Amino acid sequence: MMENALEPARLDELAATVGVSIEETNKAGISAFLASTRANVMRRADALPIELAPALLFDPR
Amino acid sequence: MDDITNLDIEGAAKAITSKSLSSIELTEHMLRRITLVDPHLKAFVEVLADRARESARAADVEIGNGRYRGPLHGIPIAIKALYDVKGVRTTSCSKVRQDYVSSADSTVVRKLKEAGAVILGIVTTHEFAFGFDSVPTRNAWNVDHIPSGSSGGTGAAVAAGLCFAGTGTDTGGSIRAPAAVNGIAGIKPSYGRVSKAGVTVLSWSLDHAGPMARTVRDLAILLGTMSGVDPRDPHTKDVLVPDYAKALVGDVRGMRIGVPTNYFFDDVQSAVGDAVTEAVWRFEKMGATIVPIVIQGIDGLIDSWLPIAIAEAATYHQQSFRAKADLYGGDVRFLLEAGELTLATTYINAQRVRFAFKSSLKETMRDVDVIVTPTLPNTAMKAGEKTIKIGSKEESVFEVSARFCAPFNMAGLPAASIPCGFAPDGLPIGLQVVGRPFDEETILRTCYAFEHATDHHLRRPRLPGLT
Repeated sequence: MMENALEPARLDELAATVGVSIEETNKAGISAFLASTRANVMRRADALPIELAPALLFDPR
Repeated sequence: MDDITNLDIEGAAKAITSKSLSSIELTEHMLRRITLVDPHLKAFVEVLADRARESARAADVEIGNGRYRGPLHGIPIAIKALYDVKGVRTTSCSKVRQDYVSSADSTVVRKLKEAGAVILGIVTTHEFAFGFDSVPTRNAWNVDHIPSGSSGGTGAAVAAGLCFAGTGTDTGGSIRAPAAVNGIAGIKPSYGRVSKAGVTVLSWSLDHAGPMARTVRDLAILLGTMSGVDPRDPHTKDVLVPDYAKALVGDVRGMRIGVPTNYFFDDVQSAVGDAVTEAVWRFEKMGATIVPIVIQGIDGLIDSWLPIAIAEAATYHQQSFRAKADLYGGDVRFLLEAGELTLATTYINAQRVRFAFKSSLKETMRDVDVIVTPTLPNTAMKAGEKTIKIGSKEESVFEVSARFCAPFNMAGLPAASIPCGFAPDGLPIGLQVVGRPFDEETILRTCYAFEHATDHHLRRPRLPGLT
């Protein structure tokens, strides 16, 4: 379902939901970009233990 | 005139204290060079000639009265257009903020002013620091090439001797990349070492502020002034700021220097690979132990860096993007649109990947004092080029510039770039030196020893406007 939402034709729906308009010439590129980065992040994240918390309160130490 | 241009901050400070040069003479010298050279480089957005002269004369009076503040007193520097400077237009090089004038100094600018530095002017950034082209600025070594970015204005201005040093910011390489391609030194300190209060945000969790200069000693002087906990910036850490100059002993004997056997030498230009290999050999000759290391989890890490950077940037720009989307440049608009549509689970998982990488790298660094790598896989790209092919890999300016630098923004570790050679076409090559959290001292020690043993930092570009 998520992948479908990122398809160029469906991108407008997602954009309207968050309240921005996407330039027509950017749609295909953004769709591919979002799908690719999401797939790559999820591939790595799926291999992590679920107990591993995000680095939201970040401290390099 | 040439003698002044060849001085570093330490040399200029000695000349000021010995009264062989005054701050106003240094300032006038730089203003003359800016007039001649900057029409070709376009590094300065605004030259603050009157203010600079006023500051320089005040510095001369103070010093004459025996109130010398230290090595930055009376030294002309430049400020990246992302830093607030009280009463000065700092637009982040964007039409979105074309009328922005801050009513207060950023913490870094305040500290530099208190140290007596003379602010010559505001230098370019890629729009909102969100890229590596820094249009319209050009590379000091060849004006057909870009100065990289986003701190491209600082890189070009320092390399051309239009100022002694300047400020930069670094979210995925924006201090180190322009330092590398302009043949100067730059350091991205540990996350939390230098305050970002009053510096326009690109990505809260990845942004770092730091100095750029011609020599490692100058970096040490600037970093010592810029560092420290700041109540205005909750990200800063209360960690002792050492006297960085004491680390500059010119010796790496007994040090363990990690050299990655994976990732960092894949798809690099041959001149870059050769220069960095030569640098590693030199460290070994100087008495360091070279330790081959494998950096786990780095391949593809950029794919987790990107959603963090663009989602945080889109959040920061949310209000103004809704009101003024048409005023953003095309490349920045694309990234902000993508950031708006990045899913929360993508962002959170990217932060989990980041945490895992940081933990793994921490283990790797237990066995070494520093890691050395190329700063970039390439030398400066030609202006207008959108992609570059190195080996089998075709990449955008954005990807190639972040490839070796951004992992250390993800880890929050300190990392510097210093010159380590030149390609056959005369363009500079950078060596990246990465340290443990808050151990900038060891990085500076390593860089200084290398600089001391080589002469790359002494070469100067042939500048348009002077010949």
